Amino acid sequence: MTETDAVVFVVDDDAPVRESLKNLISSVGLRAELFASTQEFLRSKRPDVPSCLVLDVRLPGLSGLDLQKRITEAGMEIPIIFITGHGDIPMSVRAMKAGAVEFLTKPFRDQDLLDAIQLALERDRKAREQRAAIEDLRRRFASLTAREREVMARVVAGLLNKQIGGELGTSETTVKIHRHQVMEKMGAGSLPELVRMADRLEILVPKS
Amino acid sequence: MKSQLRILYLEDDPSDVELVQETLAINDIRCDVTRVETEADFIASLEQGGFDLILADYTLPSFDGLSALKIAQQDCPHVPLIFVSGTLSEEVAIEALKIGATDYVFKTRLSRIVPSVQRALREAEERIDLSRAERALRRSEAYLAEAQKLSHTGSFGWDVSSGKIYWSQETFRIFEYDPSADPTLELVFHRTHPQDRALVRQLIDRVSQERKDFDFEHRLLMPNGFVKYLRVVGRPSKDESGSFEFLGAVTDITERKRAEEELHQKEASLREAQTELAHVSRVTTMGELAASIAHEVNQPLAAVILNASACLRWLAAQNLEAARKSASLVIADGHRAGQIIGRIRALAKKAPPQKDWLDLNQTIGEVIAMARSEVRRNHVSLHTQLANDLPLILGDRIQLQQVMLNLLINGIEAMSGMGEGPRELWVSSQKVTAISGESEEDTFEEKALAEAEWTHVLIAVRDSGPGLDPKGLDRLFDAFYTTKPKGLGMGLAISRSIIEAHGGRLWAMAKAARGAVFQFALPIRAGSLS
Repeated sequence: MTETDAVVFVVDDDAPVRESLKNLISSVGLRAELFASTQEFLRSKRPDVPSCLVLDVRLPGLSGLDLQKRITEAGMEIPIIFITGHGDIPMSVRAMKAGAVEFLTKPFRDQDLLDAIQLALERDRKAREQRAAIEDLRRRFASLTAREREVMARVVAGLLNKQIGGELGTSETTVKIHRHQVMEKMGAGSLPELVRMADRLEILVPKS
Repeated sequence: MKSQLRILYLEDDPSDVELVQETLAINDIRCDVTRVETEADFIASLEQGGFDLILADYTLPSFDGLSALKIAQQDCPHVPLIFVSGTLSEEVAIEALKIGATDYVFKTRLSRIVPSVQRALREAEERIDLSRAERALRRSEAYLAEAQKLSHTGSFGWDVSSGKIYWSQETFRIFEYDPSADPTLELVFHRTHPQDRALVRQLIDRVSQERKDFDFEHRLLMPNGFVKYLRVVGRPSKDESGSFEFLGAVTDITERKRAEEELHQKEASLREAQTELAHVSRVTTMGELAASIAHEVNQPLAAVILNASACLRWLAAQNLEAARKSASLVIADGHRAGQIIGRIRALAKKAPPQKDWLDLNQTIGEVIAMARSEVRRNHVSLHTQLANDLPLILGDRIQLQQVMLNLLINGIEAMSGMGEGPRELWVSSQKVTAISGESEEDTFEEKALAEAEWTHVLIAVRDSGPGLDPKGLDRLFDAFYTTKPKGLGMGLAISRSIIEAHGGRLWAMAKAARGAVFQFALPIRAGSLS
């Protein structure tokens, strides 16, 4: 993914402010999409690219803070940068606690906003990568046979082939073949790598 | 004489009585005679009463005529007494008439008794009529005096040419002169308040020449320093002899004046309070206003900075077209900021909010009192529906008054353009419970809950005006947004700031069948105050 794929969503009911935000964001080569209200934003079809949300706190109808809550509740993961007309400490604390990247009081320095946007995009990019990696792992894990999964669970638990054969009632040789298949299908180059994969997949180790 | 005459006859000789009775009977005077001989019987008969006439012998064995006359004079002065006697000297007869006997008749010339009785009866009747008239006159005089006293109105008569003045009892009382004094214009001027004296002289001079109705008010300065207000009314009249005079009345209107003055003072202080509130609503708002203004001014300011920053970046990137566009955006934003500053320049300074425990119903009452003249002027009928068990709310009284007054006036103004249809305004208060606490409209509901579960007090102002455009609902609370030709567009923005500073919420509803509803909810718990 390249930098230009990223999108910054801007929700502000003040048109000139919206435009100025777009102008600044564009000047650093980022794409900005503008919305006048939270409802408009929620209704929009958003591209599946690294993105973040620049959100005015005080908006008609559903406020910025309300939107943040909705987004969290809906399991949508998008980093939010709040901007507000007048600084209100309790409000900013609430926003930050709920996971906002930054809380900026207007007028703010352009660099502060751009830094926050970069940080937010970076976070989203990483989150997306992580999500993609896990998806990949899940796909791989799903391609394993039932017996291979049983073998994998025991391998990552640190059991020897002999012990696994004993537990599963097969020969050590059969276990070896399964083990090789597991390493191949999961794309793991080493045992520690397979263990990390299992960790991320949260595979439970059966008790012996 | 139609009825029988009842005669009390003091006489020791019954045959004399018979003789008199016969003489009268011959002359068609039928009578019923009671004869007495002693003083005791005489007095007893008088006390019984009912006699039309008393006849008395002058000399009696145990009593005498003069004494009888004196007793009769005292007990029943209207009953005529005629002496009928055989021996009566001229001196005695004159003495008897002087004391009050009606006549005297000698037994030797008894025929004279007939015209004598007739005249006596006629005179007695006249006397009774006269005394009846006198009584009626006295009664009417008493009534008049009482009425004058009650109404603080005295009467006067003023013969302009002779200068003679008549005053009633009450007029003397009003001017505080002794009734024995001889009323003159000088006495009037003497009591007239020095500041009014020249004017009163002028008025009296004029009316005495013009001889027309007059009606004026002036003040009196009493010897004890007390100031009285007087209304003087007069109308020209001619007396029986044809000479010209004024008849009139003076009324002490001090109490009324004082009440009026008090009312004026109250009205003035109410007006002052209204003005002060209006001023305060501009002044204290500044604190709240500052927040609104900060927001409003910050918007273009933020845009200026962002566009200028972008401009520099475009320049660095050699994108001159984008840089040029950014610079013109900066200019537009700058102008916008300037316009906002221009609008708020007139508004005043900040006053710190003061929080007290308030009974919102009382606050509503105060605000309604302040808006009363507006309500009346716009022919609005105002209804209240106030919960009688509201908990106290910690808040700034003036600021909350301001919010309520703003909502009330908005409601009244919303209806002022209506040609027809009832103009009604409802103000209600109730306890409610916030269910989600977020900014959706219907987050408060009124349910029967335990006291501890009520979270807010909800105040609503509903009008029967044209209602709100649902599309404009979001912008209503924006500063400088107004639908009124002369509106500043700050009222609702400020009101919302105030309510939010109290930890509450203010919102509008367009969904009412008719009219608009503006309502705000304030938290009951003090802890939620910001």
